[in-house]
Amino acid sequence: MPAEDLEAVMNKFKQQRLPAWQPILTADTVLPAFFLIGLLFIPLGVALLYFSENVQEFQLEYTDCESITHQLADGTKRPCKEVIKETTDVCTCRISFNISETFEKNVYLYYGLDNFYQNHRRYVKSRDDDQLLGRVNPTVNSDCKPFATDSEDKIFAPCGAIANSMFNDTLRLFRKKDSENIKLIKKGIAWPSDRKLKFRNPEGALNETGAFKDTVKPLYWTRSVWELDPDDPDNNGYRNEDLIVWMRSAAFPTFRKLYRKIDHSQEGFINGLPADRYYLEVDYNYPVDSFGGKKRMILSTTSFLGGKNNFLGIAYITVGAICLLLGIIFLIIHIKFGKRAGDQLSINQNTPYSD
Amino acid sequence: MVDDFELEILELEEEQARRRRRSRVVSSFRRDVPRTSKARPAPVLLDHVIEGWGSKGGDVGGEKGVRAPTAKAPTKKTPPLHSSIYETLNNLFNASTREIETERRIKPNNPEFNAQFNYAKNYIKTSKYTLLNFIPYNLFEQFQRLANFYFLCLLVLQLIPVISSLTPVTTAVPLIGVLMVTGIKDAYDDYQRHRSDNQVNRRKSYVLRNGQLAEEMWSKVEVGDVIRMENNQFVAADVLLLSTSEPNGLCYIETSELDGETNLKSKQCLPETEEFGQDVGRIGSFQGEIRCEPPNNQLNKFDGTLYWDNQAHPLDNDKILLRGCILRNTQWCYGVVIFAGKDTKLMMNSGKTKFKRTSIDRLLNFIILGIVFFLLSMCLFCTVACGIWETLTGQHFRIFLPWDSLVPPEPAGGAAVIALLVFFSYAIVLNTVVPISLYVSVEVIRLCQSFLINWDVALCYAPTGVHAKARTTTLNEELGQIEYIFSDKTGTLTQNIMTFNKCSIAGRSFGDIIDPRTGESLEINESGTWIRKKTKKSSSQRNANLRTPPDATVDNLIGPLDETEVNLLSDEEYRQYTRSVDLSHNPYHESSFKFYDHALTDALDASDPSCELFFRLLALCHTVMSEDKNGKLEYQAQSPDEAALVSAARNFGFVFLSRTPNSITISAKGTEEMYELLCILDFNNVRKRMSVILKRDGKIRLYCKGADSIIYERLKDGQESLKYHTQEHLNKFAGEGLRTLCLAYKDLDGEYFQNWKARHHEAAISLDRREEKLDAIYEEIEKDLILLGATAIEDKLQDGVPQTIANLAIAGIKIWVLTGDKQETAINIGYSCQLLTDDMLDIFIIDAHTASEVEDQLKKYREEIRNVNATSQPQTNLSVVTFSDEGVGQDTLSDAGEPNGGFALVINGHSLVWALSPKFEQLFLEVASQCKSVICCRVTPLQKALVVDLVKRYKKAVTLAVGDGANDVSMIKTAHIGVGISGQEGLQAVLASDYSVAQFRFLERLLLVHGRWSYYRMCKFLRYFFYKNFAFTLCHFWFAFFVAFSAQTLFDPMFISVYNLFYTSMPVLALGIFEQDVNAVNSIKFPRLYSPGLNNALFNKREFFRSALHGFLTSCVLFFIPFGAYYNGMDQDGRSMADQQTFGSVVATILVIVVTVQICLDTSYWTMFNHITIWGSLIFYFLLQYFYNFVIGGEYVGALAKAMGEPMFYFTSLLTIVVLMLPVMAWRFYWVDVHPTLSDKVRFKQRHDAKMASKRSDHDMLRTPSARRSRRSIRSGYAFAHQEGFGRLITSGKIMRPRNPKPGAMSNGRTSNLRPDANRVSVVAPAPSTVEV
Repeated sequence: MPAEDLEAVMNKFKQQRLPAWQPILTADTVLPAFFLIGLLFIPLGVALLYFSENVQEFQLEYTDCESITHQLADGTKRPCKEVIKETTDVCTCRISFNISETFEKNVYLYYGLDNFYQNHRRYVKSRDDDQLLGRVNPTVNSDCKPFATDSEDKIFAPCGAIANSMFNDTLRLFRKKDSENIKLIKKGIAWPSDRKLKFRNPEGALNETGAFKDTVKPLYWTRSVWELDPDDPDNNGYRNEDLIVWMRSAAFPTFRKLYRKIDHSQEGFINGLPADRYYLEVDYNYPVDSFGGKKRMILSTTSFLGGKNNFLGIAYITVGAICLLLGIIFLIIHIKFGKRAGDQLSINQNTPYSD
Repeated sequence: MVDDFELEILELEEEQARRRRRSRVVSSFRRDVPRTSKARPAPVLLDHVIEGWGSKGGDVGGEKGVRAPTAKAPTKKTPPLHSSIYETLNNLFNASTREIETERRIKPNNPEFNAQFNYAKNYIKTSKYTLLNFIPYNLFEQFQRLANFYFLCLLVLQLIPVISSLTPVTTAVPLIGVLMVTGIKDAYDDYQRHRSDNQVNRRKSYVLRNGQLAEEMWSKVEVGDVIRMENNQFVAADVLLLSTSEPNGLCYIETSELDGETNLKSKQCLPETEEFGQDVGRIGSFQGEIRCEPPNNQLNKFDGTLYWDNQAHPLDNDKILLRGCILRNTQWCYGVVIFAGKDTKLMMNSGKTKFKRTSIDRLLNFIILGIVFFLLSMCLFCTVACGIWETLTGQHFRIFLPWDSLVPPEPAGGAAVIALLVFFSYAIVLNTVVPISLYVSVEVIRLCQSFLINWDVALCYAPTGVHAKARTTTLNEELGQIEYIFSDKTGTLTQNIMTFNKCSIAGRSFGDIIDPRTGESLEINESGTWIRKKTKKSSSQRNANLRTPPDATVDNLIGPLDETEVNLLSDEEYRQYTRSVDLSHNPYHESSFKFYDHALTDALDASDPSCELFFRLLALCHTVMSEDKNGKLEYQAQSPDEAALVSAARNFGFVFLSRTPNSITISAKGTEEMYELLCILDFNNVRKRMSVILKRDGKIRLYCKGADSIIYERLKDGQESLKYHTQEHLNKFAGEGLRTLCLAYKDLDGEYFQNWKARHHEAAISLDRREEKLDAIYEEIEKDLILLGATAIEDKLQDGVPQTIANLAIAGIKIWVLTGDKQETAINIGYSCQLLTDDMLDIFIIDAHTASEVEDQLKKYREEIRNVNATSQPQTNLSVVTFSDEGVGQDTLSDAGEPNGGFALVINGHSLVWALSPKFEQLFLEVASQCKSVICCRVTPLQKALVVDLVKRYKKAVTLAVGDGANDVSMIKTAHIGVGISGQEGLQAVLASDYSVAQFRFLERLLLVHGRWSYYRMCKFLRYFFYKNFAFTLCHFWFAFFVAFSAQTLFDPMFISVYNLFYTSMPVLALGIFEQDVNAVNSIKFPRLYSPGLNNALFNKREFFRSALHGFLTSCVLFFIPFGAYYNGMDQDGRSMADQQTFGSVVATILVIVVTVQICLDTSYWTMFNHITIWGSLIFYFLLQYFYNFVIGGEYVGALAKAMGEPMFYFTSLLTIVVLMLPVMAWRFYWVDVHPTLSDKVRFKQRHDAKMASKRSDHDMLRTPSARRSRRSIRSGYAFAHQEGFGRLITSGKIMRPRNPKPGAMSNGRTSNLRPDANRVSVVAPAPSTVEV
């Protein structure tokens, strides 16, 4: 800006005479806006509702499932949640269910937890991002306590309450008719950005002498972090996608996390999950009973907007309808009670501030 | 927290204690006054002793002996009274713990003796800090602010890991920022104070040290020093006058710094010390002892005794020069310092500088206290909820989330401890409802507004180039809430220049300037621009005229509106007719004198006898004294009116040259004439006239001038036509607000005069009822006068004063004038500046001297007001009905709010003493507040402050005091806002003020434009600020329900710490600086726009609740719509999206967008800066998010990016924004459309006018003048000098230089060729003051 222009602007600023746009709410602008919003929102809402309705979802709660591996002497089945309190053996459940309608691909398998406070303040902060980025420090974030070090002062890898409480049930899906184990894909379930930016293994081989020297497995874990997926080094250690998914702590106490994707390359599942009878086999390890938690298995397809959620669609339709209604009400008010331009202009020194 | 409240309570208690102390001062002051009045010799002089300066040289010398015992008595008889006064004063004005002084003992030239008492030095300190103590002291002061202390507590809490829910940085950064900004500002302010202190302390003065005169800085002057003062110098301290260059130990001072009056006052030293002259040796060896009263703030009272040579000499106020006076017409004088520094009466009267806070500040403190309670209750709620959760669920969840080691493991105790800790954690998380950046932002906005005031060229007084200045930067919005203006008169409303404006000679009126083309009369304004008087054609009144339109004066300097006026000036033709008369042929003429009516000079050139006699009278009949100053003739008068008249005569060729006690010499059209002065019948309040009896060529003639009513009563019969015409002219003059006087003369028979003279002498020496007898004698000779004409003097109002007052009155501001003038003058000015109008129902005058009389008068007036109100009420209703019958929308000039002309109250200082007593103050206020205007005359500086304080205490209204002199300082400091008129000589008022302007009329723009805008902006700013903080913080509260009340934050800690600082501060700051609903011209044109400020309507508790509720609902929508949308949310590839970071980022982003959209709705004036800040802060948000997360590596990295990669985010945002904005739009649209305020209407009109402007080139602005302005006063007015003249001094000969000066006074370095050495006697002892001839 040339100097004199700048000076002129400065002068106008000092004299508070800067040119300005001075919008006024008038019937000409407000009423059309109401109608426009109303007319826009209703179809949008319908569309959103349509997308949401297209999503297919199946939920199966298995918290109280009965063990097929542990039975009482008299043959009565015991729920796994009781079994795991007594023994460290794997307790397996099997629950059958029916899919009545073919799930269009892609179909995703989730585990859901209820009443699980992943968002508790002390829980959320109980992690060490530096450690998960592969930086080796002699100490870890004190927020990890009491899951920072074991009694011998060895660091947990990974440390903290989140990692320690990682979901460790194993879910398997079977087609009932042929007991065929449906192939599941365990990669691509975590956020790419997380894998790229937040989780890296330390330098060295993924074993107790290399990258994870001087560390111990978290208290509740049955395997070390380098044993999470020994087959695929890219999915092992801190880069294990199950771990990454778990580490992204949920916003609400009821949440679901992506567990596996149905492999649609296998025969019979090319177009999705056909309507059929299936059963779920769970290696039941994760205790949620004590605090009233619930565990679920969820199968879902996705849409343009993600999962099944009618909220937005209904909200759009409602807001659109209210808008139209308001538009009509204000049109009437304006016609019946609104001040005419002439009234607005007939003012003088003694016009009171408000009538 | 507890400490917070204690602090506040302490503050409150201190406030109450201060109030108690103050009321004690007031009452002791009140007790004091009647005591003084008892000591008064005669009731007639009452006024002078209480309010005046008691400076009548005449009555002092003669009564010395009589007065001394009474004057001394109170000191000894009632020492407790004195001590109580001093104690309270001491408390009030200086916090020093010095022992209470009951009597002051001073030995001149004896520093050792004086040093033992530890009297205050002459060093003046108004600054607070030094370099060393600045940081601790300033921090200490800052942490006394509740908010700062609160944040300090928070910071400490955050340092405790168990509690900390946020990093300490989130509080530390803003807190340090706030402390630094405030500290820098305080340091700058204090630096300014240091500078002005130094400037005063470094003034030079001559001090006698070891028998030698030495130049010393003021700060080095000590009590007991003898100092030499010279002409036109300020007096450095309160001194006892020892000797002067003038005869009889007289000296003259100007006291404008103290009481605002510029006329001279005379002081006289003891005859014994007068003999010292300027003999330094004698003065240096002067070894008396002075015992006097302790320091006090009464300007007109001094009691003391000088013990010297085993004699006691009583000392009174007449021998004391006060700090701040300027020596005039006196070559030099010597004096002993009695009071120095903060003990001087000037400083005692200036009151203590109090930290002023605006009502919004107080409301804010209250609100913040309320918010803290709200915060605590939220915390408490969360605590309880957390306890419950930990008991029900948490303790079982310990398998995954064990409790901290310091928490007891047993469930109940553990839950309780955790809950307790969560209380503090939530106090930290939710602390942002108490916005720390609020105070900084408020200060920044106020600072900018102050700069805008300083920069405003429309507030710049072109002739002197003086800008308005906001000296205090923290009070701007209060300018938009002023309900009472207390104005000084002299120098504030008036220019303090008396000009001879018009006259009527032998039935012919001179002085009008007529535009020959249109027949309209013209008027000149202060800056020399010609203005056409607009005569309303429809008006039946001849003189109904309007001066400049109210906003033309404003636009004069910048706007294109008044081009026509400028043309008027440049037009050659007009120049010719508006050329002032050429008087240069007269060697004595003054170039500053302007007169525009050539008819008068023509008449004089034609030797019109009446005209000649008229001016001869003016040159002769007065008590003015002449002196030669550098070869130029100058006049000294007690009253500026007289000076103006004599100066007018001088310019028209009748030059008063000199006088002796018994002669007057004038030069009449070049020929010198000498008159024998036989008698001066001096002016006083009752007589309202003065006469001289002169003899020339054997003819004795009496010349008389006085108030018209008085003169008319005494005219000879048979001048009916002349009387009629003169009366008509008088009415006209008075209607224009001029001060009129009638002139008359009478030839006296020699024999009769001798006879009269003998009886006069008899009366003059009688001891019993002398005044009465003299009055009767005067009465006898001043009759059968022959009318000569009338003069009209303009006590020149400053430009635009009536318009300003009228406009401010329409705005709903009540204006009280507090003046030291006497009642008549004050009323006269009241009329000319439209404070008083003829359509007023009644003007109440309270002038009683005793408590019961004042009470009676007040009660009577209260009854009257009640009666009128009772009868007029139904009438108003009726008239409203008629208006509505005539049709809606028709412009009606009548003001429905003011059914009648209202009342005015005029109260005298001596009555005010009683009216302000605790017993009557409410009664007084009740009457006064029902009056449209109130004039307090003859008030002392302290009374001014008391009046302001009274209104402040009972009316809960915002007060503004405006004045120009040191006498206004206490009032300026007491009022919520003090405005000083700058550009005058004295700077005291300006230095004490919060705002300084060059002219009274700038108040209009200062209040109606800047004040209104500031208030409007500040309120809008605050409403928005609370809204956005509630919207922001309460999201955490909603989140608490989902996070087991564990104080987990929803947002990124980084976002929390910079939300207020970076993301949302700039647009609202721009709003606070640039926002205007209505432009400046319309703000002045429609003064009623001011009323929201008066009613406190834009920001109060209700508005706050509304904003808070708005914020609350917004946070609710902000949280739950994304909650609904993201619940179990997943992306298109099935990945879970309902994690805490994503959800937090989404809510945070929508929050930023929503509050930005909200500010778009709130901004009604979109300058480019608003665009930059609004769009800029949105862009900045995303940039900073990216930078922080991806470059620095924040915890939340990827969350927002991921969310924004999904369409869900946009649908959610759109829905949230629409849901939040629609109701706001609907609500606002409803009010604008159905119940528009004046502001809305004017905005509409502005837009309409802008549209029309292109179509209509010649847009005739229809101005509807106010009822107040359209009517001019038709009444018989008169005014006269402030004071009795120098009559007694003249006739007693005291003032004249003796023919053979005494040896001691030998070396006064003045030559006097104008003063004929015709004195008969060299007066040594002053003549008895009461004998006139």
